[in-house]
Amino acid sequence: MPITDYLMVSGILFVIGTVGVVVRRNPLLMFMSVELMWNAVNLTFITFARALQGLAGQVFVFLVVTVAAAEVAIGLAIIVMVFRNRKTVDVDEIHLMKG
Amino acid sequence: MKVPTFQSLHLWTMAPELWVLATSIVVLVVALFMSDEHTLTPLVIGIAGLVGAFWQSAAMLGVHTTGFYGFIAADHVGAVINLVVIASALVALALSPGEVEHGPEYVALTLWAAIGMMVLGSATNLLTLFIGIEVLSLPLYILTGFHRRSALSGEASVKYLLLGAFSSGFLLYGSAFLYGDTGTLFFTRMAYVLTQAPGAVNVYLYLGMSLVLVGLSFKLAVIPFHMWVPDVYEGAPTPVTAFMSVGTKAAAFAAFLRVFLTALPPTIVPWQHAIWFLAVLTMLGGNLMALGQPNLKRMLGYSGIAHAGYLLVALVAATSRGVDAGLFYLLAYGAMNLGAFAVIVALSHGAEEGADISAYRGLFFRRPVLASLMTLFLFSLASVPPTAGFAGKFYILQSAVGAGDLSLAIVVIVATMISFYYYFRVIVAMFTRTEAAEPRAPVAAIPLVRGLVVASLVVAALGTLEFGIFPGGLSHVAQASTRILSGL
Repeated sequence: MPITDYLMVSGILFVIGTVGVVVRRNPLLMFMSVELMWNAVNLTFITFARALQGLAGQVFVFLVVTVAAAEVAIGLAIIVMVFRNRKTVDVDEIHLMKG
Repeated sequence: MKVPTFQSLHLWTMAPELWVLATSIVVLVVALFMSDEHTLTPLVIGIAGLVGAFWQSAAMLGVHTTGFYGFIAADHVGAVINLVVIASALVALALSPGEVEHGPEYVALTLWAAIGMMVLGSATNLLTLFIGIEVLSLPLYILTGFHRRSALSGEASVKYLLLGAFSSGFLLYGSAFLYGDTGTLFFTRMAYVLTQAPGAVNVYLYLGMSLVLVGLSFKLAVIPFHMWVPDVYEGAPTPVTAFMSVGTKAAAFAAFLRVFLTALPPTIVPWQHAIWFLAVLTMLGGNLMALGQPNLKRMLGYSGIAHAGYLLVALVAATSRGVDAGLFYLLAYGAMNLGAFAVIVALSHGAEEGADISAYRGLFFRRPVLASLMTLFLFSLASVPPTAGFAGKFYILQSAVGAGDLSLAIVVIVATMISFYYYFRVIVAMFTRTEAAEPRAPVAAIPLVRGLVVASLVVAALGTLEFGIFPGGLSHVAQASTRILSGL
């Protein structure tokens, strides 16, 4: 099976994630979209590692997964902190693209 | 097969990083046994550790080797970046007694972010680059939101976190394509593979390069990837802003140098047009957007964006003179920017500081020394001779002209002229006499805290003048860097 199929799938996942971050306004959903992007990257790395018969790409994936876990731990803590500050679960109004 | 041994790791190549790591562990253990929450012991330990790491980095100037089986570089560029990062961490900690009261973790987090910056500055491959970026970003997300009660701080933290992770996604995706195209993660090896197959139009290579460019541009705060900067700079505690604005920028610039000069040299991959365009956009955009800012931290945020543009000019030149100019500019920018933030901290009363420019009206008549120092730093940021900013700008222009890029040099001059307006607006405000005699707030009651603030101010002022009046002596620190970056 050609690697382009796998790359296509990971590309679609990455675009879904990117669009999710840009379109969504809820930090939790945006965070999930970011995770989707990172996992699309993992799939890409695995695909190339397989095609190149190399290990470096697979090792990279392990590190990406580890860092993603750390990022989630910190990210959720920060989001919870903001929830508490505002005494509400409605955090839809964080305008990220406003310079 | 070669059996790896402990000695063959060459641990000393990471001496500054390991030293800072050890310091952070000591800080945490000491904090565990502290009876009084409000002592400054962790802060003092952190500062002592950083001074040690500074000394070790200085010893590594001029070295040219790698450690950890080639995963980390111990070279001149890395050492210069280490010095800038450690200096900014030192100033950040010296200005932080007010923050440490929120928890001793503050010191450890600052140290970890510094480690990430140093690793990023010494990365020899995409894996180390990624680890460095994340190790610097994760503590900074927390530090940005360190004022737990402040809504502004929390929102800045969420914003930084989401956009930081978002940009890391682009960087990673680009790394994956570069790996797929060249079959290696190492920068030097990548350049070698690419020279073996010249002229081949390759989708993976260009996709990978563009995505990595986007990801790194977020970290360096290059327009149009700068949207996080103003809010994060305004919301974060002021010492953290000072640290981020200098340390992160230095590390990200080193990453630019290593990726675009070592791994993807412009003779093989033509990226100069893209970065030329980004540089122009960043210089003009950053300065124009800084014009109407009422808040000094926000204004310095936009001015920092503009300074990232000047750094890109040095990169576009893609000559050894350009790299030297960029590194020298980092040293100068570090001194003057840290100085400006030190004045903001010295003038802030308590947690909610008034960084509004209106609060600086008539400052000269209330606090003549602080106002004069602020004038010096702003003059330097606006690159008026004989300050560090002027010398740095001169080298940048020299590198652009040397590379035959006159149009870019003209843009640098135009952008600098725009920047005069908003820097001088603050200076004029400080020297305008006001009737309302505001009470003279003390810098700080505790002598140690006061001493730390004064020390940072003095160091920054000396740096600003020293780099400006005697640039020759200092620029040799920035020189000899380019032999290391192959592809030139």
